[in-house]
Amino acid sequence: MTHDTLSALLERLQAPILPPTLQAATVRYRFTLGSSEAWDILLHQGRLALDQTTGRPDCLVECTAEEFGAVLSGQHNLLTSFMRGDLRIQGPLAAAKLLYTFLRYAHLEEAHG
Amino acid sequence: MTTENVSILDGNTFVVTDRRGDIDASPTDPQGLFQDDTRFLSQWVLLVDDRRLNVLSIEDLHYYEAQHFLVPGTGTIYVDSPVSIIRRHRVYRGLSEHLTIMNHAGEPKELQVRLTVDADFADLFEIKDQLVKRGTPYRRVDEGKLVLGYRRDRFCRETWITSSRQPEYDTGALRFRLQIPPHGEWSTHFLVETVDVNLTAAGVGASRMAHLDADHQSRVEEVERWRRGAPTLASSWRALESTYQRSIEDLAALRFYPYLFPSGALPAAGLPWFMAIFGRDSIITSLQALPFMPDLARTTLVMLSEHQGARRDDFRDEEPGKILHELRRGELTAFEERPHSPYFGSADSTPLFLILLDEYERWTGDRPLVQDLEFAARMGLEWIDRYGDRDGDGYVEYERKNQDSGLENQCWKDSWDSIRHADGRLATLPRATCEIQGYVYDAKVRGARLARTIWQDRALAERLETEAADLKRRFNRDFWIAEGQFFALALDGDKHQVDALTSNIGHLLWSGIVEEDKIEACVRHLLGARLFSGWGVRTMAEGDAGYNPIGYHVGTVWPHDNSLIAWGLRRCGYRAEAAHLALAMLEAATAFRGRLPEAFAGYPRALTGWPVEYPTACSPQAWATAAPLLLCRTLLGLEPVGEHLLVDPALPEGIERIELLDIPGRWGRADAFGRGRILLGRRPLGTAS
Repeated sequence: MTHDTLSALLERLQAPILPPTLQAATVRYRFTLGSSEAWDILLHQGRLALDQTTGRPDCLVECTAEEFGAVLSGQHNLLTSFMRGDLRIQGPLAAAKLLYTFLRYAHLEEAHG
Repeated sequence: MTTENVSILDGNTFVVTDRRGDIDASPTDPQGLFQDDTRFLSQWVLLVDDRRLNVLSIEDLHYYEAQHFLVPGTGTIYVDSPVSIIRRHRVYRGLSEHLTIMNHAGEPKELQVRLTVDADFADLFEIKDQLVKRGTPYRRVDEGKLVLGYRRDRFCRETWITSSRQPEYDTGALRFRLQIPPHGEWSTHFLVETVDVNLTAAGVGASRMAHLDADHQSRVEEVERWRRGAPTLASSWRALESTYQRSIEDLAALRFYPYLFPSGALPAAGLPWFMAIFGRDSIITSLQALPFMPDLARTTLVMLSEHQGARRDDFRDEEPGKILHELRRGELTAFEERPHSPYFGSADSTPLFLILLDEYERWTGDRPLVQDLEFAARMGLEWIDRYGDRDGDGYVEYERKNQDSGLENQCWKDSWDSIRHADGRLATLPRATCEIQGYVYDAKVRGARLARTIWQDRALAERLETEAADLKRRFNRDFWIAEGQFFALALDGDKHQVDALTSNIGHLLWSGIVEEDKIEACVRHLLGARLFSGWGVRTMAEGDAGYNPIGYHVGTVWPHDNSLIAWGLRRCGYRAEAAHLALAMLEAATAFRGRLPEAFAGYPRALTGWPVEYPTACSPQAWATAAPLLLCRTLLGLEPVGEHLLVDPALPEGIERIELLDIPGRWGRADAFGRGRILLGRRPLGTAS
């Protein structure tokens, strides 16, 4: 997945209604996809976006590139991916739970143009 | 499950053995070591000189600990066994067994001890439905432990077995060759750890048994704190004291610390099939236990709000704002062959959530929590109108979207055949059962109170009050069966009344939806011969075509159902009737040695003289366990009024005295005393005449 593709995917991921705790949360996730690919993603003000800062991640997520795309696009449920072992989490489960909740509320808006 | 089994549990980890302490699972007998909906041991059989052992006795030490006293078979009653064996089982996120073998003879004894072990890693749904597994089992001896494993893609679970004495391992067994000196003994300590390999690799839950003794000590202290935190009950009826203690103990046992919310406990539903988070069961148990241990309600509300429905998902029967039905963690759920991640197939959890939120605040005064959960509450209220009332007729009805593995009935009577007409025909779908409309009415009335007093939203409060009043008016018109003088069980898919006479009408009394002129007729039915068995109100009335005294939801007596009915009778001012029903149910508890099961048979008391067990009832089951607590609340007439606790006892004359001390609430702690004043003409079962 390229920077632009991922950025566009996150841009389309919208959650018009969110619990207040999620709107107020700021969490950094580092997704490690195999040995050579990693993405830092920030949950902030009820949106996900590529993290341009150098802050330490709060939560590490390990999975394949396919699983990463499927979870973000809503094809796979983060909780069942986690239960199957397709997605591994290190760090506070509370941080992972926020991402799970965000993804349940979010859906992909149709791409424009 | 047969009564020959012995169960010990700790939250959602539990062990079911036979009386010898052996596990020898079969499709029909769910023995095993279970955690997170997975069976981590399906065989654990002790053989001495290649023979199974005989039971002398079993000691039930704690809810998490049991001891089995055994002897090898001597083959004749004329020869005393020179050897005896003690197996002490303790469950704590796994199983620990202390095995002691004693030689009572004056000469050394040589013995061969073999423990055969196996793990089928069956999902609980696979056991219930007898399904075949899709992954691959494996086993190995690894750094002094026997590892039984199972892998399906990346899903991997293992059982680690160690012994404090080095065994010889062979395929599926640990062997020991012993020589025990005269009058000496030999012992070893087995540890069985349940391992989610993915979690352990991520550093979560690793080495959970490593500090077993320290953890055990802290648990003993924690359980003691739990007991001390509950009010103290004293009564002239000693059996009531025992039942109360049993309830407190069993609620401690059923507390469940979800791994996504480890800091708080909420009640799992029941052993063995329902050791998971259930929306309806957790809410009702929390309601029943609220005057005694309000923290359960707090965790339940928070946990359920965190998993509240967020989107439309037909597989999970999920809709925005809906409160979940059931959350599971087994293999079938992980691979989405079952929808329980979580599953949302209950139409009553959402209004019940709102009822609990209000009742919790009334008791505890915890306004911050009600403020924190305002979003969840508003989502729930919106679900009722937008999704619960799916056809816009003003009633909440249900029909599953997941036709493959969803629940056909999404009310508390959720077996497939529970919603029937009096002539036995199944009701067509979608179904709007009467008690759900009562819950919705109550949820709106209570939601209005919260909107006005805490969320400062007068417009919402007024809208909800108007809607509740309108619902009450329509309900009393559309559900009332004038000829029979009771409320229909439901409206079916064609909006026809489902005319079976059922216990559901008792929930209506609790909800407040029944108009004044119809209450007395309902009370007469509830305590009449068709519904009241003498031990409690049957789920369905004798005389209806579907009635069966041992039918799960069509004739059995459910303690939680009866506790809500008694509360409803009391709410409507029928003090003597409430006392009568509460006494009958507490007498049934006495017959079950203080532990009411999920359900028992609906045979008339005059016929059996003793409540008859329902064959596959869960026990302990959370809302049956908490039923005596609500019955005590009802007998003592406990109600929070502003900042004070109102005590208005209405005890049957046979119970001379009940004292409940240190009742927690917004008043701090308060005491309640009651004396028997209501003449029922008999003394409670188990009291001296």
